Amino acid sequence: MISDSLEARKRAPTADFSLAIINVVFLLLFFFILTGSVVQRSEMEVRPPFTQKLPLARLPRPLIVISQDNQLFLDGLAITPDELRRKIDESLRVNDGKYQELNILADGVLSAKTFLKTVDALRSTGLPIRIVTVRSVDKKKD
Amino acid sequence: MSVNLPPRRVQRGISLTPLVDVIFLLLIFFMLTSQIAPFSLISFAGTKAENKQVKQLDVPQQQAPKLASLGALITVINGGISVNGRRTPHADIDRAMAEIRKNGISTAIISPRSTATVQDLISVLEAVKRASFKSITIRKSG
Repeated sequence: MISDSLEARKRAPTADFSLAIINVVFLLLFFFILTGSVVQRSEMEVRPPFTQKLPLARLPRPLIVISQDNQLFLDGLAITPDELRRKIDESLRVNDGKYQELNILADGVLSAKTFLKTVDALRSTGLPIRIVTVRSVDKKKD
Repeated sequence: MSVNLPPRRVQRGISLTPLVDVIFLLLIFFMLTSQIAPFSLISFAGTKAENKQVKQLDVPQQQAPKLASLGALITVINGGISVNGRRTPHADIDRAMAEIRKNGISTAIISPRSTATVQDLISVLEAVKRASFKSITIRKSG
């Protein structure tokens, strides 16, 4: 009779990498969550103007993008100037706090006068306006 | 003959493989949709007192010479600025601003030409803010 002295087969211990993988992946995930800014496709096609010594900031929202051909985008969606103005006025009238400030990301090669015309139309809303730029460490000297 | 074997112990444990899959998917999502770009913001207009407000001024061409009496007239051109007829590239703009401030002028009037781009305007705005001008005005017309 075989007594119950059979012991479980001892397997050679193998290194468990799954916890280490999770650690690394979590770190990468947190890195991208903390340092990245979610952008829309239309916003990636614009080349923002460069600055050198301004403090860093996250990409703000709501974001109005002015492309090189003077197309307007609000948070990634194409919009006409009248529709944009209507949305802002409605938000101010309802006072839902959706538009506390206006952030503008304009293409760097866009004409300054065209840009100022658009900004001037938005100034009349009374909301603070900020221009989004990209910090450049080694700007090419002209 | 009977064999008495010890009861097989079923190993219960949480499989970590789906967790790693989910984390990888989240990681890929954030890698594709976010952009790690060092953004900066320039306050352009607003109602907050602490922001250096940029005012806009509409002065017809025939009255342009009067602007020089209001402060330093900085003409933004493609690739640089022009102050008192002297052209300065963007690389030397800080020196030009320091010279203006040394003369005790604390008001800057920025007048972009039709050839100036948004990048030119932003470079000038950044330099003017760095030079701590008390008042910054952008000329709309001209």
